[in-house]
Amino acid sequence: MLLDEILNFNSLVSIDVAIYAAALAGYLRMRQVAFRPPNPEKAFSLLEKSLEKAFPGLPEGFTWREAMKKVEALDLDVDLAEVEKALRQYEAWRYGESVKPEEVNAEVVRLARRLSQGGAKWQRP
Amino acid sequence: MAETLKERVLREVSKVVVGREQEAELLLVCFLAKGHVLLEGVPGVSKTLLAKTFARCVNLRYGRVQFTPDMLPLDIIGGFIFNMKTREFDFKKGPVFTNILLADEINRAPPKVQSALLEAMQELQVTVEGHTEALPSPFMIIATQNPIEFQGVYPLPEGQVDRFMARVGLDYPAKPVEHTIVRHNLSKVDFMDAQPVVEWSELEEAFGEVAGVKVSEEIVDYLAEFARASRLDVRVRLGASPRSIVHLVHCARAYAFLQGRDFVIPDDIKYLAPYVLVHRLRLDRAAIAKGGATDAYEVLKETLDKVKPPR
Repeated sequence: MLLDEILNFNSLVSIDVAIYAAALAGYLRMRQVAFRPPNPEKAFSLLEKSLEKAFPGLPEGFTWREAMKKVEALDLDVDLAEVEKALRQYEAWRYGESVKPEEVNAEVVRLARRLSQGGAKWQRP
Repeated sequence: MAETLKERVLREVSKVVVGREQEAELLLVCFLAKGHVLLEGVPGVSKTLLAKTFARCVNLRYGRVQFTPDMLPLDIIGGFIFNMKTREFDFKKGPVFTNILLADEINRAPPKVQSALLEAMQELQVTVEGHTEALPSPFMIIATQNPIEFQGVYPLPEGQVDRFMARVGLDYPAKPVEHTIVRHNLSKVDFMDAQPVVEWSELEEAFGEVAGVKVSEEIVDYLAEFARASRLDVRVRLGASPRSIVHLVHCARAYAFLQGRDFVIPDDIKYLAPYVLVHRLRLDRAAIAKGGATDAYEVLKETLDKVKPPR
């Protein structure tokens, strides 16, 4: 009788652990998917949202360059030279009828992720 | 090529005028955008020297007119003089017939003289007694005025001010710059120390490239929305005119070209808007009295911050 109860209790705990682990994995996966934009356009859209979240004082009329100046001041562990390069390509397409960039720049996504996570904890030591 | 042109002009200008790189760049922007510039500042901040040096660097014909209260339009645009030999009236061109005209202390001349420049500035021609004469191309007026004088000056009317593509204010320099100016002026400084660094063919090419700088539909929309917002602001009596927005987009093209781009980005617009628009905005007196706004620059900046650019 006692053994049965212990076994039941243990199995319940296992099931609970399994459920929570699955939920956590799902949540993490969802976050990853949310930060895996399919194209550069989406990546910059994601970055825009992250910038708005990280800098609530940014006016409605902010530009990429103005926002990037604020990002520079944060000194995050992101390669901003790469972000700048991607931004130039994006601008050339967006405003200059240049070829649409095909690949999503990893540093742009990384920056968006860092900013959405608050930024401060990713500052360089 | 663009970087080289800009760098060369700025380098030569800075040989004579210390600490005015930004202002010199704005002169170059307006020159490439085929606009006129109003340099505004208290006496002794190198307005005239900057204009003279810039004109020398771009290697074009340059003329200077010192505006005075007793001037007549004839002194600027020219007029018909009787030729004793031919027994006919010949048109004698005034100093406006040049490539770069320095209109020094423009607000010292009476309105009829200031108005004589309107046609020249807008249509690049002058008409005297039904006779129309085209001005040389390119043609640029660099006017200077002291904003704090009240005695013996004639403030420029709105219509005249609107014809200036940009107004560039020259403030007192910062302490380190002032230090350099003093050091620099211990030996004789002459604008002739700056050398002409641009060839005409290069300028022609640059004008062509500026005309080819792309302005996307969304940027045009942004400009239109911004112009509308500036007029709807209750604190503003006179907002951005259509001409001012056209000037702004031309300036943005020239600026983009000098930055090595062949397209305009919203940052170009935001950077140049104060230079192109502040002198045209007129604030509502009631709003000023209520403390709603004291400065056209602040109002413009707030408007720019409210209008969402394409991102």
